[in-house]
Amino acid sequence: MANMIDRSAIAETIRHTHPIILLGTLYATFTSLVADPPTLLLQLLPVTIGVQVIHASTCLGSSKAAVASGSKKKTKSASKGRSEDVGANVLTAFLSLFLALAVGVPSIFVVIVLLGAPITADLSHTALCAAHLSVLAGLPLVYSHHVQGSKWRDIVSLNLPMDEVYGGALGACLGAWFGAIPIPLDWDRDWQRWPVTIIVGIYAGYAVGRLGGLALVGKVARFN
Amino acid sequence: MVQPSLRWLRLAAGNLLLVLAVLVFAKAFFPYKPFLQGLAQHADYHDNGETPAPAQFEKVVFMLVDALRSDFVFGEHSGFEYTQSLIRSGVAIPFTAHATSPTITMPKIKALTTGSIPGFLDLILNFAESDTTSTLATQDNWLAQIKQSGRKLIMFGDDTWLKLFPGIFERTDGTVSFFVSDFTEVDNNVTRHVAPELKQLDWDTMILHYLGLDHIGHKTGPRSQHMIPKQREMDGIVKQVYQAMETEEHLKDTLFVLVGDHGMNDGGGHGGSSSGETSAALVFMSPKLRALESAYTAPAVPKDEFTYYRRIEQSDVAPTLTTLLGLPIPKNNLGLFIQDFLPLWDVDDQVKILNTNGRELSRLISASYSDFDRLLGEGKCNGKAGQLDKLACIWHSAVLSSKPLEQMKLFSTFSSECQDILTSAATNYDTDSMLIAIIIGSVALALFTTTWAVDGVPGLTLYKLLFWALSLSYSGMMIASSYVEEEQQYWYWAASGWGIILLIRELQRGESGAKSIIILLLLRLTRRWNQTGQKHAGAPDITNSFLTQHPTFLWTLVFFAYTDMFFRLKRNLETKHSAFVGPVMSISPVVASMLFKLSMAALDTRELIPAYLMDLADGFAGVSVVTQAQLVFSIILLIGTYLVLVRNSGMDGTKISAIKKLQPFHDLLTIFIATQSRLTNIPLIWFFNVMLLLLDDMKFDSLLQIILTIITMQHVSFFALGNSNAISSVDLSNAYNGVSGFNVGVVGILTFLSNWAGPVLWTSGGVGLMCSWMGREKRKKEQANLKKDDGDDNTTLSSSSSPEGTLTDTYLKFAEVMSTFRAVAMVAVMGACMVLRMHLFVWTVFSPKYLFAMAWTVVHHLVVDLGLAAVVHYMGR
Repeated sequence: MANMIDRSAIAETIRHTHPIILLGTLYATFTSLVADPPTLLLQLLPVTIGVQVIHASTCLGSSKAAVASGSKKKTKSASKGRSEDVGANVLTAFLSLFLALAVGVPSIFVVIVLLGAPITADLSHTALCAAHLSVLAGLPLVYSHHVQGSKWRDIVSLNLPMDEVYGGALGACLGAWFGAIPIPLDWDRDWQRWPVTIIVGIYAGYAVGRLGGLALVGKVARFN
Repeated sequence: MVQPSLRWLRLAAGNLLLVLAVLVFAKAFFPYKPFLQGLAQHADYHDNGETPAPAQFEKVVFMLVDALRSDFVFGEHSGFEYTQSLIRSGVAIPFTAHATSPTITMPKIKALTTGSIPGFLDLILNFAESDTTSTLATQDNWLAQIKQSGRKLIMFGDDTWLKLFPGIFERTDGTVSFFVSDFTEVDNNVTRHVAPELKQLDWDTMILHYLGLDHIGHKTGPRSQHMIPKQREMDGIVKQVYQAMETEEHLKDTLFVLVGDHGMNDGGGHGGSSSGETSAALVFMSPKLRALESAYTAPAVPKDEFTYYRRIEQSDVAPTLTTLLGLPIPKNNLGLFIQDFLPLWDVDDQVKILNTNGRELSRLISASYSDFDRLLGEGKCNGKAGQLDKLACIWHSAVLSSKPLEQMKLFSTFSSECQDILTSAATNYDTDSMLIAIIIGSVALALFTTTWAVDGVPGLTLYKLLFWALSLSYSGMMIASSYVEEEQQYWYWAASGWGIILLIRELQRGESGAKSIIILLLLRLTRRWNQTGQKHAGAPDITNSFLTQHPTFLWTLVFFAYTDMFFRLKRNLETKHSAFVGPVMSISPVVASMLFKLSMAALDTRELIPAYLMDLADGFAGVSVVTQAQLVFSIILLIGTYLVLVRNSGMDGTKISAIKKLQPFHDLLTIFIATQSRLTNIPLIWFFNVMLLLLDDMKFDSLLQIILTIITMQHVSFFALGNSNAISSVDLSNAYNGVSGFNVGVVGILTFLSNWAGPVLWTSGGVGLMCSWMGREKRKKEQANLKKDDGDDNTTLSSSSSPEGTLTDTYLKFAEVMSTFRAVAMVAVMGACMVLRMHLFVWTVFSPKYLFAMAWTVVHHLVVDLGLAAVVHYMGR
């Protein structure tokens, strides 16, 4: 029992420091990001992956547990599942990572290009941008909801009730979209380079979105 | 619920107030500049008996090379080797002449000849005046001065000069700048006159205007392989003229001026205010100039990208040229005498020259500020700190001074301060009127917002928030000059976001999402079709980098676009009792329009025609394009009349649904819009119609969704067709379709329709979307009533009497919401122009934006969005 309290204490710590670590790393490497976006994004990717895998395997529950419980009780029942086997959680997290990258990168890449990313230049920039978005938004979603078709349809169509994971993912996507705003300004700053502002938007949106997700737990957006 | 009559009143009052605000603001923002009539005389600038500074030259050869950017002559990799050798030997004095925006030939010729600085408002006035009345006959200029002094002028080259200066030349050969793809013939037509004319003794001023270099720029850019050979050719003309000046006795007192009217940007275009466009070359040449003992190197190293040697204003050419010729300075000149030439005279005359320049400018100040004459008359400084008092004080000190050097210094200070006052925009603003205009606009906006606050707009809160987010973020954007220049980025961004929302909506309805994805895909293609804005204008895009390279592909797309137009029209024209009407009536406008576009291309843009179509194109181009365009318009008009008079009045007694009635009108409009569009844009029009089809299939459930789509797509289509917030982007290539003489009204309408083609199409398409929405609402209500009839009879009355979804209510809602958006945008533009009136970019960014906003509000919003939509709407009843 003592062990379990310890664990949930660790989980709580990770849960709270996780966005700070992500944003802090981005802040610390911002100069290099501006100087050479693809190189830094490639170097940053393993860090983000590591942070996300740790976060997912310690703090997130899988959907089996989540389905059984209501939205508020989720963390509790999830922690029960977690205490059973940390090793299995890490394995699940890596599987989620694999799926998020394999499916997420190409599909997000296509979406970013559809929304206006350059198609004749900077392809590696865009691909890495998609990779970061997949790891931040996609990995926790895959971890929590697996690959259930109907679930993913709900995720894409915003039919899923809001929670922390979903809020983070939506926040990252919205952040990416809003990140495009400063690009056309004629300030001629290096940070206006593609896709620096998008990356910042993704990371900031992810952090804000998780808080927003907590605040709006259970809500669903209606478009019809 | 507000009464319909009150709603009509509110709509009318709000829009009238909005127009009033726009006009009041425009009057304050574009100040009228006083302009002096008649030709200047020496007596205007000299007191009794005083003689002007003597002439240094008797004759002038003025060689204008269109788009001659400074680096073309002065730079490292220039074809002007002979000219550079003249600069090195001290007989040629080089400058970079600053050409103010709009950098287009006609205003720039005005600046070079009158010394005034034509703004873009002149451009509008120029356009409003007809081809023949837009002359400089009533404005003083150095050509008129030369003519007045009894000398003879001849002119060869661009016929703009003939339009600007009718009847002033003894001999002319005008060339037309119509076939941009002609690099050689257009210049040979000028050059063939040069050698014989140099032998003639009877002229005193020869003007040459070469267009070839500009054509090369437009076609293939400043780094084209044709550029250096063309520069060598021009350098050859310089050599020919200069050597004649050295050898021919009758040319020994000749001043030779080589000048560019404007430069070009990296893409080879011009019109805007980038440093490439505003930096033109200017060289004065004569063996006599050796006396100035100038020591220039050539090729030279630029101070910044395009500033070689000293940068002067283009308007400085007029006073300098007239003074060198011993003629009075043109009356409306704002330029300063170029002081590099002063050493040609003795000190007394030098003082006289600067004094004359000052007097000429002070008369212009007096014309704007009636007080100034009195201040000058006082004869001494009054010690006050006002701008005009100080100015007068400088004048008095200069007149009273006895030291020539000090006098010269003071006179030139006086002149440049006068110039500052006359050219600075800030002094003339009527800020009170501007503020009043903004208040009137805000009252209009407040009226429209009562629609939201009092009546309430039906629809989900989400879409209401989106509407206001769109309106407010759009208006916030207006204070950032780069967002005004790159406005397309905002709309593309907003539209893609809207596409995602539509996708989510579609998925939530349990559909596949394919429609939204196709729309997003078409949108992505659309936004890359034409690069527009400032920064990326001329960057690779589908039109320039792909379609121009692959004309077969272009024509395939155009053919499909027209085929689509045919099938739509055919389907919508078919009636029950006559399967014959549809096909016959629909094929004629489509074929006529396509052949007209082919003939236009054969005349205008031959590189867009694949080789195997060339014979056909030339064949049809034999028939006058004016007639062809008139034929297209007549056929469209005829079918339109048939629809109104015969078909839609329900000749077979059966009632046609509203949407069925409207669709053929939209199809006809599409054909008209295609006729009025650039060839390369016709596939885009097809894309828009495909999008409209998909959007209609999405079955919007509230009017607000449709209106949001219309607003976004109107703007997206405006920019995607190649427009921007720069005057230079106004496309005149389809303004004269079917017009043989000049007719201000018709050309104005055609210009508007060819530039606002996209928005007009989307308004019409939007009416269609609303019509089918009303149909769905009606059916929904009928079903609901049916159900209720089965159950409880009492509630039926109340629900069926609700005006929601009726024709009038729908139109009013549409008009109210559209007016809200327009009012928000217009008030924001006025606010931005007022706050930023001292901004560096006020002339180049904010003033053009205001003109575009005016066109959006007064023409597009009132006439198309409200007027046309009403007509179409009620026709479908």
